[in-house]
Amino acid sequence: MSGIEITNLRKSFGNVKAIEEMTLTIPNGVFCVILGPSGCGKSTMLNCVAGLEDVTSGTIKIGGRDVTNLPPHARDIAMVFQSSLLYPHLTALQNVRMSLKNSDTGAVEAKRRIDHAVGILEIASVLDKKPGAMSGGQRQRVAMAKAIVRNPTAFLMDEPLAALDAALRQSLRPELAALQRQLGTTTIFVTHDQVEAMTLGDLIVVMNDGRVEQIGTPDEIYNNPATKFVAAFIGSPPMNFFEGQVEDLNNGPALRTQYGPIAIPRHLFDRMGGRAHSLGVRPQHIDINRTKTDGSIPGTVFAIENLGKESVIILHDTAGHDYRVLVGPDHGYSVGESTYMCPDLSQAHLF
Amino acid sequence: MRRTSLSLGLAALVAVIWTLLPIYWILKTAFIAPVDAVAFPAPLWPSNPHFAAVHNIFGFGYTDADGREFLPAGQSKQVINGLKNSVIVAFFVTIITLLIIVPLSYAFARFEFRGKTALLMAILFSVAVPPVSTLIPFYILFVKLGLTGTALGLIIINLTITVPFVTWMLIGYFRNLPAVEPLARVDGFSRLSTLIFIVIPMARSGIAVAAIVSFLFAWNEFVFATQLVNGTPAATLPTAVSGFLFLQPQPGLLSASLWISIIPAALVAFFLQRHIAEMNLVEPVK
Repeated sequence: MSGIEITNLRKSFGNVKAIEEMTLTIPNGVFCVILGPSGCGKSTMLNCVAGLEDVTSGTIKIGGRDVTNLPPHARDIAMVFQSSLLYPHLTALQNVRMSLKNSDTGAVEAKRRIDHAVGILEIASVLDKKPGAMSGGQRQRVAMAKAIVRNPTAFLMDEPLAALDAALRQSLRPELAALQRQLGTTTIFVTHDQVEAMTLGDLIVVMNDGRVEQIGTPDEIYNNPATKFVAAFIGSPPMNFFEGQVEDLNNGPALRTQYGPIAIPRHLFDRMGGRAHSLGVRPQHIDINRTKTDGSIPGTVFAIENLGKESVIILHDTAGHDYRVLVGPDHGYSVGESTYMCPDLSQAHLF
Repeated sequence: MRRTSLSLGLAALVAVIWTLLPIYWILKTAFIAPVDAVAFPAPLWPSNPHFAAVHNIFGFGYTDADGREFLPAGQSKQVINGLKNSVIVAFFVTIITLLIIVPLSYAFARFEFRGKTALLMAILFSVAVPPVSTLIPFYILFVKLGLTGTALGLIIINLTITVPFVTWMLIGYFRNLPAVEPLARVDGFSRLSTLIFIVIPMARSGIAVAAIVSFLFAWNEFVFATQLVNGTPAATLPTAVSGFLFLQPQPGLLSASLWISIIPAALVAFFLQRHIAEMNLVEPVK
């Protein structure tokens, strides 16, 4: 059985295009993360799948059934909203029950499902509490229980962890992943947090400005970013970009920068040719030295962020661009020092 | 910290005395003998409780311990009739106000539609207009429609004040509630059933406060009542009580009738005060 199929989805609000064109197939049981900056259309896309927004054109199939024109509750989905929204005036148990109130689930079956969900999520102790009296983590669990009892074909989650503090988010992430694996339910999870995307997703869809930038596994997205946007958005600290003009010179292809040419491996050049104008290198793939070497780029240490086991050195070139370099704890550099960056070109990307 | 709580306590004490002392003064007068009521200095406390006034005002005679007989008050009929009319007017004003304002302010808080700002301004404007300025036009209109001297006319004119005022108040309250509508849609509620089964229970504090405000306004309303129903069988309690002002001084009866006008309002406020606190203090869970 197929999970979720989105074909040529478009969504406009008046003249504003929220989603330009999106085609996405999520196989059954896959945890798919939609990642993008705020305003990129990811929540709109989720609302279209949920049926909370009408699509402008395109079709949406859930479990092989065309649901494009069905109301939300007829789509066989369950949704967890931003900040794990619950009805504030109802207890946890009443909140969970609301999921089944308008369905034709019998009383016995409803009780069985609720008991099951309460057991899995270990929320028996908060069943009589209202959301206001629960912790963020408990609200999250109740919202999940509310979703599970529907026994849906797909879970839709709209930044459910966004409002929680960092420590709690970190502990809930693996739980959420484990729960999804255990239930095997196809899931779309919307977030702007790349760490959530990388740790939770079987499949990541990177969106920007209403367009899909790349669809792939976390490894593919990180190691083979399809566009400069994806390269810049994924990874922390972010990728560095050296700007210039790519040309095929006598002694091989190179990026012509204001500091002289940087040689580019032939296989990269062959893929992009002369259209490329930036060379992307991740912070861990740049060496810095105090002495100038062939193809090195000068930079002044602007700031040093000590992360304990490693440090991020932030360099400025003469034009004021930022470059981040990951170094070991005993780097010995200090702010204001002049250095030279040597990118490891075998790990570079052209855009 | 200690100093803050001390000055806060003092301020609260002054505020309580400021508001409650005059009310206490009037209310205690209902329980003292007419002789004591005009004594100087006046007694601070009804040390010699005397129950003639509270009997007389309801139309019962009373004989006190000294064997003096107090006849039923001549105004008792008007007072009791006024009480009945006030209950009717305040009850219907409250119910009709709620029926109108709950969907109205919910729509203003949650939906975008053409002319919304203009309508909001119109509501604000009708709150800002001094009620007295509409009194004469309304009076002429009501005379032509035959609505003077009727409870219906008074209910209508009360609604023109309570509806805009309470709508304006509730819009802000609804806006602050968490947006559970998408949640309700996924749970299979239609727009109407979301309002009835989710939003109204969720907003019960705000709606209760709206009810208090409407009830108290209609209960206390005096200016319109004086013009439209005074001296008719539809006269409300405030106009009936005001009748005492033009007679020979009977402080005991006046005070007793004030008790009647204060008690129901105080009861309403007392039983719904939890909601006033909830509406103002508890931040809704987002």
